Amino acid sequence: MMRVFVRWQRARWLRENPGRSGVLAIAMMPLIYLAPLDRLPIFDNWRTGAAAVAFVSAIALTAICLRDSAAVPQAGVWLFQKGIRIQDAYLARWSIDMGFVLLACLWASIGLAIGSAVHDTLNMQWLLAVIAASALLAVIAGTLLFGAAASGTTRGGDALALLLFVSLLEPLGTMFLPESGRMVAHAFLMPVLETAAAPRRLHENPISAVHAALHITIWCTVWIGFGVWHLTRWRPSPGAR
Amino acid sequence: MPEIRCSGLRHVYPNGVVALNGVTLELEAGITGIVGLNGVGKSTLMGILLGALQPTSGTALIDGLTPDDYRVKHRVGYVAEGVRFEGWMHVGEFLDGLAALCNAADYDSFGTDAFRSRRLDELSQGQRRRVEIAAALIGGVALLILDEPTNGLDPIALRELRDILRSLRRPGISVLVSSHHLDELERIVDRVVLMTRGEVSAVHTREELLEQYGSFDAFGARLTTGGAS
Repeated sequence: MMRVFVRWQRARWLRENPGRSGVLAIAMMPLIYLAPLDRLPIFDNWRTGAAAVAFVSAIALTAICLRDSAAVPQAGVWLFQKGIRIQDAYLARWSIDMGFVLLACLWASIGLAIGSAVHDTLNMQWLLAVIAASALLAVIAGTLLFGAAASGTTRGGDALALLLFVSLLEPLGTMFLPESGRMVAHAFLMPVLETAAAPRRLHENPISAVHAALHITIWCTVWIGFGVWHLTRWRPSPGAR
Repeated sequence: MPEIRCSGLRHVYPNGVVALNGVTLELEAGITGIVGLNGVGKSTLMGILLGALQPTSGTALIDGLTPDDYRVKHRVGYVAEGVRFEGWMHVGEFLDGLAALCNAADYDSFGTDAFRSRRLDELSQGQRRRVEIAAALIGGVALLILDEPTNGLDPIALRELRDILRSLRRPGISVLVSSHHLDELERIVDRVVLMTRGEVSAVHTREELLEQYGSFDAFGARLTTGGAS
Protein backbone atom coordinates (compact mmCIF):
# COMPACT_ATOMS: atom_id res chain seq x y z
CA MET A 1 0.00 0.00 0.00
CA MET A 2 2.76 2.42 0.99
CA ARG A 3 4.49 2.08 -2.38
CA VAL A 4 1.30 3.09 -4.24
CA PHE A 5 0.74 6.09 -2.01
CA VAL A 6 4.35 7.22 -2.34
CA ARG A 7 3.93 7.13 -6.13
CA TRP A 8 0.63 9.03 -5.94
CA GLN A 9 1.84 11.64 -3.43
CA ARG A 10 5.03 12.25 -5.41
CA ALA A 11 2.89 12.98 -8.47
CA ARG A 12 0.64 15.22 -6.39
CA TRP A 13 3.61 17.22 -5.12
CA LEU A 14 4.81 17.82 -8.66
CA ARG A 15 1.43 18.61 -10.23
CA GLU A 16 -0.89 19.95 -7.57
CA ASN A 17 0.40 20.94 -4.16
CA PRO A 18 2.92 22.58 -3.88
CA GLY A 19 3.31 22.07 -7.66
CA ARG A 20 6.35 22.56 -9.86
CA SER A 21 6.82 26.19 -8.84
CA GLY A 22 6.47 25.24 -5.19
CA VAL A 23 9.05 22.48 -5.50
CA LEU A 24 11.36 24.97 -7.24
CA ALA A 25 10.85 27.43 -4.37
CA ILE A 26 11.70 24.67 -1.87
CA ALA A 27 14.83 23.86 -3.87
CA MET A 28 15.89 27.52 -3.54
CA MET A 29 15.21 27.66 0.19
CA PRO A 30 18.83 27.15 1.32
CA LEU A 31 19.79 30.38 -0.46
CA ILE A 32 17.89 32.49 2.08
CA TYR A 33 20.50 31.71 4.73
CA LEU A 34 23.22 33.22 2.59
CA ALA A 35 21.57 36.62 3.16
CA PRO A 36 23.07 38.87 5.87
CA LEU A 37 20.15 38.42 8.26
CA ASP A 38 22.00 40.30 11.00
CA ARG A 39 21.49 43.51 9.05
CA LEU A 40 17.74 43.29 9.61
CA PRO A 41 16.87 45.54 12.57
CA ILE A 42 14.55 42.94 14.15
CA PHE A 43 17.35 40.46 14.80
CA ASP A 44 20.19 40.92 17.30
CA ASN A 45 22.59 38.78 15.31
CA TRP A 46 22.73 36.39 12.36
CA ARG A 47 22.02 33.28 14.46
CA THR A 48 18.82 34.70 15.91
CA GLY A 49 17.64 35.67 12.44
CA ALA A 50 18.55 32.31 10.92
CA ALA A 51 16.77 30.40 13.70
CA ALA A 52 13.64 32.53 13.27
CA VAL A 53 13.69 31.99 9.50
CA ALA A 54 14.14 28.24 9.98
CA PHE A 55 11.20 28.02 12.41
CA VAL A 56 8.84 30.18 10.36
CA SER A 57 9.71 28.48 7.08
CA ALA A 58 9.18 25.01 8.62
CA ILE A 59 5.69 25.97 9.79
CA ALA A 60 4.84 27.80 6.54
CA LEU A 61 6.02 24.87 4.43
CA THR A 62 3.92 22.48 6.50
CA ALA A 63 0.87 24.73 6.26
CA ILE A 64 1.14 24.85 2.47
CA CYS A 65 2.00 21.22 1.79
CA LEU A 66 -0.11 19.43 4.39
CA ARG A 67 -3.24 21.55 4.45
CA ASP A 68 -5.43 18.85 2.88
CA SER A 69 -3.36 15.65 3.11
CA ALA A 70 -5.89 14.09 5.45
CA ALA A 71 -9.02 15.59 3.90
CA VAL A 72 -11.06 12.77 2.37
CA PRO A 73 -12.68 13.96 -0.85
CA GLN A 74 -15.56 12.13 -2.57
CA ALA A 75 -12.76 10.34 -4.46
CA GLY A 76 -12.18 8.43 -1.23
CA VAL A 77 -14.95 6.10 -2.42
CA TRP A 78 -12.43 4.42 -4.74
CA LEU A 79 -10.29 3.31 -1.80
CA PHE A 80 -13.37 2.49 0.28
CA GLN A 81 -14.79 0.17 -2.36
CA LYS A 82 -11.46 -1.63 -2.71
CA GLY A 83 -11.54 -2.52 0.98
CA ILE A 84 -8.77 -0.08 1.95
CA ARG A 85 -9.39 1.38 5.39
CA ILE A 86 -9.73 5.13 4.95
CA GLN A 87 -7.86 5.84 8.20
CA ASP A 88 -4.92 3.70 7.04
CA ALA A 89 -4.88 5.31 3.60
CA TYR A 90 -5.04 8.93 4.73
CA LEU A 91 -2.66 8.45 7.65
CA ALA A 92 -0.22 6.92 5.14
CA ARG A 93 -0.70 9.85 2.75
CA TRP A 94 -0.18 12.37 5.53
CA SER A 95 2.94 10.53 6.76
CA ILE A 96 4.42 10.60 3.25
CA ASP A 97 3.70 14.32 2.91
CA MET A 98 5.17 14.90 6.37
CA GLY A 99 8.25 12.98 5.24
CA PHE A 100 8.56 15.22 2.17
CA VAL A 101 8.29 18.31 4.37
CA LEU A 102 10.97 17.03 6.74
CA LEU A 103 13.21 16.28 3.77
CA ALA A 104 12.66 19.85 2.58
CA CYS A 105 13.59 21.14 6.06
CA LEU A 106 16.73 19.01 5.96
CA TRP A 107 17.56 20.34 2.49
CA ALA A 108 17.15 23.93 3.72
CA SER A 109 19.47 23.18 6.63
CA ILE A 110 22.33 22.76 4.16
CA GLY A 111 21.94 26.48 3.49
CA LEU A 112 21.75 27.06 7.23
CA ALA A 113 25.10 25.31 7.73
CA ILE A 114 26.75 27.19 4.86
CA GLY A 115 25.24 30.51 5.97
CA SER A 116 26.44 29.86 9.50
CA ALA A 117 29.97 29.28 8.27
CA VAL A 118 29.87 32.41 6.08
CA HIS A 119 28.24 34.89 8.49
CA ASP A 120 29.16 33.39 11.85
CA THR A 121 31.22 30.52 13.18
CA LEU A 122 29.86 27.08 12.37
CA ASN A 123 28.61 25.73 15.69
CA MET A 124 27.37 22.15 15.25
CA GLN A 125 25.51 22.12 18.55
CA TRP A 126 23.54 25.23 17.61
CA LEU A 127 22.98 23.93 14.08
CA LEU A 128 21.59 20.60 15.24
CA ALA A 129 19.41 22.34 17.83
CA VAL A 130 17.85 24.58 15.14
CA ILE A 131 17.34 21.69 12.69
CA ALA A 132 15.73 19.50 15.38
CA ALA A 133 13.47 22.31 16.60
CA SER A 134 12.38 23.17 13.02
CA ALA A 135 11.54 19.53 12.34
CA LEU A 136 9.57 19.28 15.59
CA LEU A 137 7.66 22.48 14.78
CA ALA A 138 6.81 21.06 11.35
CA VAL A 139 5.52 17.85 12.94
CA ILE A 140 3.45 19.77 15.49
CA ALA A 141 1.89 21.97 12.80
CA GLY A 142 1.38 18.88 10.63
CA THR A 143 -0.47 16.96 13.32
CA LEU A 144 -2.82 19.90 13.92
CA LEU A 145 -3.53 20.06 10.18
CA PHE A 146 -4.08 16.29 10.10
CA GLY A 147 -6.70 16.45 12.83
CA ALA A 148 -8.39 19.47 11.31
CA ALA A 149 -8.52 18.11 7.75
CA ALA A 150 -9.63 14.64 8.87
CA SER A 151 -12.48 16.17 10.82
CA GLY A 152 -13.73 17.70 7.58
CA THR A 153 -12.92 21.34 8.16
CA THR A 154 -11.49 23.33 5.28
CA ARG A 155 -10.16 25.98 7.69
CA GLY A 156 -7.18 24.00 8.99
CA GLY A 157 -4.78 26.75 7.89
CA ASP A 158 -6.80 29.37 9.78
CA ALA A 159 -6.88 27.16 12.88
CA LEU A 160 -3.12 26.71 12.69
CA ALA A 161 -2.49 30.46 12.37
CA LEU A 162 -4.85 31.27 15.24
CA LEU A 163 -3.53 28.60 17.59
CA LEU A 164 0.03 29.54 16.74
CA PHE A 165 -0.67 33.17 17.54
CA VAL A 166 -2.42 32.33 20.83
CA SER A 167 0.33 29.89 21.79
CA LEU A 168 3.06 32.43 21.14
CA LEU A 169 1.28 34.85 23.46
CA GLU A 170 0.76 32.19 26.11
CA PRO A 171 3.08 33.77 28.71
CA LEU A 172 1.14 37.03 28.44
CA GLY A 173 -2.33 35.48 28.29
CA THR A 174 -1.79 33.27 31.34
CA MET A 175 0.12 35.84 33.37
CA PHE A 176 -2.69 36.41 35.87
CA LEU A 177 -3.81 32.78 36.13
CA PRO A 178 -2.92 30.62 39.14
CA GLU A 179 -0.28 27.93 38.62
CA SER A 180 -2.88 25.18 38.02
CA GLY A 181 -4.71 27.36 35.46
CA ARG A 182 -1.45 28.03 33.66
CA MET A 183 -0.75 24.30 33.48
CA VAL A 184 -4.21 23.53 32.03
CA ALA A 185 -3.94 26.30 29.43
CA HIS A 186 -0.42 25.16 28.55
CA ALA A 187 -1.58 21.58 27.98
CA PHE A 188 -4.15 22.66 25.39
CA LEU A 189 -2.03 25.18 23.50
CA MET A 190 0.44 24.34 20.76
CA PRO A 191 3.81 23.57 22.35
CA VAL A 192 5.64 25.93 20.00
CA LEU A 193 7.63 27.97 22.49
CA GLU A 194 8.99 24.98 24.34
CA THR A 195 9.64 23.16 21.05
CA ALA A 196 11.77 26.01 19.77
CA ALA A 197 13.70 25.94 23.05
CA ALA A 198 13.70 22.15 23.61
CA PRO A 199 16.97 21.20 21.92
CA ARG A 200 18.79 24.01 23.77
CA ARG A 201 17.17 22.95 27.05
CA LEU A 202 18.32 19.40 26.43
CA HIS A 203 21.84 20.71 26.90
CA GLU A 204 21.10 23.13 29.73
CA ASN A 205 18.28 21.49 31.69
CA PRO A 206 17.52 17.89 30.68
CA ILE A 207 14.53 17.53 33.04
CA SER A 208 12.86 20.54 31.46
CA ALA A 209 13.56 19.08 27.99
CA VAL A 210 11.96 15.77 28.98
CA HIS A 211 8.88 17.66 30.18
CA ALA A 212 8.72 19.48 26.84
CA ALA A 213 9.16 16.22 24.90
CA LEU A 214 6.32 14.64 26.87
CA HIS A 215 4.03 17.58 26.16
CA ILE A 216 4.89 17.50 22.45
CA THR A 217 4.33 13.73 22.24
CA ILE A 218 0.98 13.84 24.03
CA TRP A 219 -0.19 16.85 22.02
CA CYS A 220 0.67 15.18 18.70
CA THR A 221 -0.83 11.84 19.76
CA VAL A 222 -4.10 13.48 20.76
CA TRP A 223 -4.41 15.31 17.43
CA ILE A 224 -3.54 12.22 15.39
CA GLY A 225 -5.98 10.14 17.43
CA PHE A 226 -8.68 12.77 16.88
CA GLY A 227 -8.02 12.67 13.13
CA VAL A 228 -7.96 8.88 12.91
CA TRP A 229 -11.21 8.70 14.89
CA HIS A 230 -12.86 10.99 12.32
CA LEU A 231 -11.43 9.04 9.39
CA THR A 232 -12.78 5.73 10.71
CA ARG A 233 -16.25 7.27 10.60
CA TRP A 234 -15.95 8.43 7.00
CA ARG A 235 -18.40 6.83 4.56
CA PRO A 236 -19.25 7.68 0.94
CA SER A 237 -22.53 9.44 0.37
CA PRO A 238 -24.58 7.34 -2.07
CA GLY A 239 -26.85 9.45 -4.22
CA ALA A 240 -24.77 12.62 -3.69
CA ARG A 241 -24.57 14.73 -6.84
CA MET B 1 -21.61 -17.82 -8.75
CA PRO B 2 -21.75 -14.79 -6.41
CA GLU B 3 -24.58 -14.77 -3.97
CA ILE B 4 -26.11 -11.34 -3.44
CA ARG B 5 -29.17 -11.34 -1.29
CA CYS B 6 -31.17 -8.75 0.64
CA SER B 7 -33.69 -9.87 3.18
CA GLY B 8 -36.20 -7.61 4.93
CA LEU B 9 -33.93 -4.58 4.54
CA ARG B 10 -35.20 -1.53 6.35
CA HIS B 11 -33.37 1.77 6.60
CA VAL B 12 -34.51 4.80 8.54
CA TYR B 13 -32.43 7.98 8.31
CA PRO B 14 -31.69 9.94 11.50
CA ASN B 15 -34.31 12.52 10.48
CA GLY B 16 -36.98 9.80 10.59
CA VAL B 17 -37.37 9.29 6.83
CA VAL B 18 -38.02 5.63 6.05
CA ALA B 19 -35.97 5.02 2.90
CA LEU B 20 -36.31 1.23 2.76
CA ASN B 21 -39.18 -0.68 4.26
CA GLY B 22 -38.51 -4.39 4.04
CA VAL B 23 -36.67 -4.95 0.76
CA THR B 24 -36.14 -8.60 -0.11
CA LEU B 25 -34.23 -9.22 -3.28
CA GLU B 26 -31.84 -11.69 -4.84
CA LEU B 27 -29.54 -10.48 -7.58
CA GLU B 28 -28.59 -12.96 -10.28
CA ALA B 29 -25.71 -12.72 -12.70
CA GLY B 30 -26.49 -10.40 -15.61
CA ILE B 31 -27.76 -6.85 -15.73
CA THR B 32 -30.57 -5.75 -13.45
CA GLY B 33 -32.19 -2.35 -13.83
CA ILE B 34 -33.61 -0.70 -10.74
CA VAL B 35 -36.31 1.84 -11.40
CA GLY B 36 -38.63 4.00 -9.40
CA LEU B 37 -39.45 7.63 -8.79
CA ASN B 38 -37.04 9.89 -6.89
CA GLY B 39 -36.92 9.11 -3.18
CA VAL B 40 -38.12 5.49 -3.35
CA GLY B 41 -34.87 4.23 -1.84
CA LYS B 42 -32.77 3.21 -4.85
CA SER B 43 -29.63 5.06 -3.72
CA THR B 44 -30.11 3.89 -0.14
CA LEU B 45 -30.29 0.28 -1.30
CA MET B 46 -27.12 0.84 -3.33
CA GLY B 47 -25.44 2.50 -0.34
CA ILE B 48 -26.20 -0.53 1.82
CA LEU B 49 -24.85 -2.92 -0.82
CA LEU B 50 -21.72 -0.77 -1.04
CA GLY B 51 -21.26 -0.94 2.73
CA ALA B 52 -21.58 2.81 3.10
CA LEU B 53 -24.87 2.61 5.02
CA GLN B 54 -25.95 0.26 7.77
CA PRO B 55 -29.48 -1.12 7.51
CA THR B 56 -31.69 -0.35 10.49
CA SER B 57 -32.88 -3.94 10.31
CA GLY B 58 -32.73 -6.84 7.90
CA THR B 59 -29.65 -8.18 6.19
CA ALA B 60 -27.74 -7.73 2.97
CA LEU B 61 -25.28 -10.49 2.20
CA ILE B 62 -22.62 -10.81 -0.48
CA ASP B 63 -21.14 -14.28 -0.59
CA GLY B 64 -22.47 -14.79 2.92
CA LEU B 65 -20.84 -11.65 4.38
CA THR B 66 -22.35 -8.24 5.13
CA PRO B 67 -21.14 -5.54 2.69
CA ASP B 68 -19.35 -3.55 5.41
CA ASP B 69 -17.08 -6.54 6.07
CA TYR B 70 -13.60 -5.70 4.76
CA ARG B 71 -13.23 -9.24 3.41
CA VAL B 72 -15.96 -8.59 0.86
CA LYS B 73 -15.72 -4.85 0.16
CA HIS B 74 -13.53 -5.34 -2.90
CA ARG B 75 -16.27 -7.55 -4.37
CA VAL B 76 -18.56 -4.53 -4.87
CA GLY B 77 -17.78 -1.89 -7.49
CA TYR B 78 -19.60 1.42 -7.39
CA VAL B 79 -19.93 4.09 -10.06
CA ALA B 80 -22.08 7.14 -9.43
CA GLU B 81 -22.39 10.65 -10.72
CA GLY B 82 -21.30 12.17 -7.42
CA VAL B 83 -18.12 10.11 -7.27
CA ARG B 84 -15.09 12.23 -8.08
CA PHE B 85 -11.50 11.60 -9.00
CA GLU B 86 -8.41 13.26 -7.65
CA GLY B 87 -7.99 15.28 -10.81
CA TRP B 88 -4.20 15.65 -10.74
CA MET B 89 -3.72 11.91 -11.18
CA HIS B 90 -3.07 10.38 -14.58
CA VAL B 91 -5.44 7.65 -15.76
CA GLY B 92 -2.67 5.03 -15.80
CA GLU B 93 -1.36 5.98 -12.35
CA PHE B 94 -4.87 5.74 -10.93
CA LEU B 95 -5.82 2.39 -12.43
CA ASP B 96 -2.39 0.79 -11.86
CA GLY B 97 -2.41 2.05 -8.27
CA LEU B 98 -5.87 0.62 -7.56
CA ALA B 99 -4.81 -2.70 -9.10
CA ALA B 100 -1.70 -2.75 -6.89
CA LEU B 101 -3.80 -1.96 -3.80
CA CYS B 102 -6.08 -4.89 -4.68
CA ASN B 103 -3.14 -7.18 -5.50
CA ALA B 104 -4.70 -7.60 -8.94
CA ALA B 105 -2.14 -8.78 -11.47
CA ASP B 106 -4.19 -7.53 -14.40
CA TYR B 107 -7.35 -5.59 -15.14
CA ASP B 108 -9.66 -4.82 -18.03
CA SER B 109 -8.84 -1.29 -19.18
CA PHE B 110 -11.98 -0.87 -21.36
CA GLY B 111 -10.10 1.17 -23.93
CA THR B 112 -8.55 3.58 -21.43
CA ASP B 113 -5.06 2.71 -22.67
CA ALA B 114 -5.53 5.31 -25.40
CA PHE B 115 -5.49 8.13 -22.81
CA ARG B 116 -3.47 6.60 -19.96
CA SER B 117 -1.20 9.60 -19.60
CA ARG B 118 -3.99 12.18 -19.41
CA ARG B 119 -5.02 13.83 -16.14
CA LEU B 120 -8.30 12.59 -14.73
CA ASP B 121 -9.71 16.13 -14.63
CA GLU B 122 -9.12 16.55 -18.36
CA LEU B 123 -11.28 13.66 -19.54
CA SER B 124 -14.52 13.87 -21.46
CA GLN B 125 -17.65 12.44 -19.83
CA GLY B 126 -17.41 9.29 -21.95
CA GLN B 127 -13.76 8.76 -21.09
CA ARG B 128 -14.52 9.37 -17.41
CA ARG B 129 -17.22 6.73 -17.45
CA ARG B 130 -14.84 4.20 -19.00
CA VAL B 131 -12.21 4.91 -16.34
CA GLU B 132 -14.85 4.67 -13.61
CA ILE B 133 -16.06 1.28 -14.81
CA ALA B 134 -12.51 -0.02 -15.28
CA ALA B 135 -11.62 1.19 -11.76
CA ALA B 136 -14.78 -0.21 -10.20
CA LEU B 137 -14.17 -3.66 -11.70
CA ILE B 138 -10.58 -3.99 -10.48
CA GLY B 139 -10.14 -6.68 -7.86
CA GLY B 140 -12.57 -9.50 -8.63
CA VAL B 141 -15.87 -7.67 -8.43
CA ALA B 142 -19.04 -9.73 -7.99
CA LEU B 143 -21.49 -6.83 -7.97
CA LEU B 144 -21.13 -3.67 -10.04
CA ILE B 145 -23.46 -0.85 -8.99
CA LEU B 146 -24.08 1.92 -11.50
CA ASP B 147 -26.09 4.92 -10.30
CA GLU B 148 -27.35 6.98 -13.26
CA PRO B 149 -24.45 5.97 -15.54
CA THR B 150 -25.98 7.52 -18.67
CA ASN B 151 -26.21 11.07 -17.32
CA GLY B 152 -24.24 13.60 -19.32
CA LEU B 153 -23.17 11.21 -22.05
CA ASP B 154 -23.35 12.09 -25.75
CA PRO B 155 -24.77 9.50 -28.20
CA ILE B 156 -21.33 8.06 -29.02
CA ALA B 157 -20.39 7.69 -25.36
CA LEU B 158 -23.81 6.15 -24.70
CA ARG B 159 -23.21 3.53 -27.37
CA GLU B 160 -19.77 2.79 -25.91
CA LEU B 161 -21.28 2.42 -22.44
CA ARG B 162 -23.91 0.01 -23.79
CA ASP B 163 -21.16 -2.08 -25.38
CA ILE B 164 -19.16 -2.14 -22.15
CA LEU B 165 -22.19 -3.15 -20.09
CA ARG B 166 -23.14 -5.88 -22.56
CA SER B 167 -19.59 -7.22 -22.30
CA LEU B 168 -20.16 -7.60 -18.56
CA ARG B 169 -22.96 -10.07 -19.15
CA ARG B 170 -20.83 -12.95 -17.98
CA PRO B 171 -21.00 -15.52 -15.20
CA GLY B 172 -19.77 -14.27 -11.86
CA ILE B 173 -20.83 -10.63 -12.20
CA SER B 174 -24.13 -9.03 -11.30
CA VAL B 175 -24.65 -5.51 -12.56
CA LEU B 176 -27.21 -3.29 -10.85
CA VAL B 177 -28.10 -0.17 -12.86
CA SER B 178 -30.25 2.66 -11.61
CA SER B 179 -31.42 5.06 -14.28
CA HIS B 180 -34.27 7.38 -15.14
CA HIS B 181 -33.50 6.85 -18.83
CA LEU B 182 -35.75 3.85 -19.36
CA ASP B 183 -35.13 3.73 -23.11
CA GLU B 184 -31.47 3.10 -22.31
CA LEU B 185 -32.30 0.46 -19.75
CA GLU B 186 -34.44 -1.30 -22.36
CA ARG B 187 -31.34 -1.82 -24.48
CA ILE B 188 -29.13 -3.30 -21.79
CA VAL B 189 -30.95 -4.96 -18.90
CA ASP B 190 -32.02 -8.57 -18.45
CA ARG B 191 -34.52 -7.80 -15.72
CA VAL B 192 -36.04 -4.85 -13.92
CA VAL B 193 -36.71 -4.27 -10.24
CA LEU B 194 -39.46 -1.75 -9.60
CA MET B 195 -39.26 0.10 -6.30
CA THR B 196 -42.15 1.97 -4.74
CA ARG B 197 -42.09 3.76 -1.39
CA GLY B 198 -39.08 1.87 -0.07
CA GLU B 199 -40.25 -1.56 -1.18
CA VAL B 200 -39.67 -3.84 -4.15
CA SER B 201 -43.08 -3.84 -5.76
CA ALA B 202 -42.25 -6.01 -8.78
CA VAL B 203 -39.45 -7.87 -10.55
CA HIS B 204 -39.86 -8.42 -14.30
CA THR B 205 -37.66 -9.88 -16.97
CA ARG B 206 -37.04 -7.56 -19.90
CA GLU B 207 -39.27 -9.74 -22.09
CA GLU B 208 -42.13 -9.72 -19.59
CA LEU B 209 -42.01 -5.96 -19.36
CA LEU B 210 -41.95 -5.49 -23.13
CA GLU B 211 -44.82 -7.92 -23.51
CA GLN B 212 -46.90 -6.14 -20.89
CA TYR B 213 -46.17 -2.49 -21.81
CA GLY B 214 -44.72 -2.57 -25.32
CA SER B 215 -41.69 -0.48 -24.37
CA PHE B 216 -39.83 0.66 -21.28
CA ASP B 217 -40.91 4.23 -21.99
CA ALA B 218 -44.55 3.17 -21.86
CA PHE B 219 -43.78 1.42 -18.59
CA GLY B 220 -42.20 4.65 -17.36
CA ALA B 221 -45.30 6.62 -18.31
CA ARG B 222 -47.43 4.23 -16.24
CA LEU B 223 -44.89 4.49 -13.43
CA THR B 224 -45.30 8.25 -13.15
CA THR B 225 -49.09 7.95 -13.06
CA GLY B 226 -48.87 5.18 -10.47
CA GLY B 227 -50.26 2.50 -12.74
CA ALA B 228 -47.20 0.29 -13.16
CA SER B 229 -46.92 -2.96 -11.28
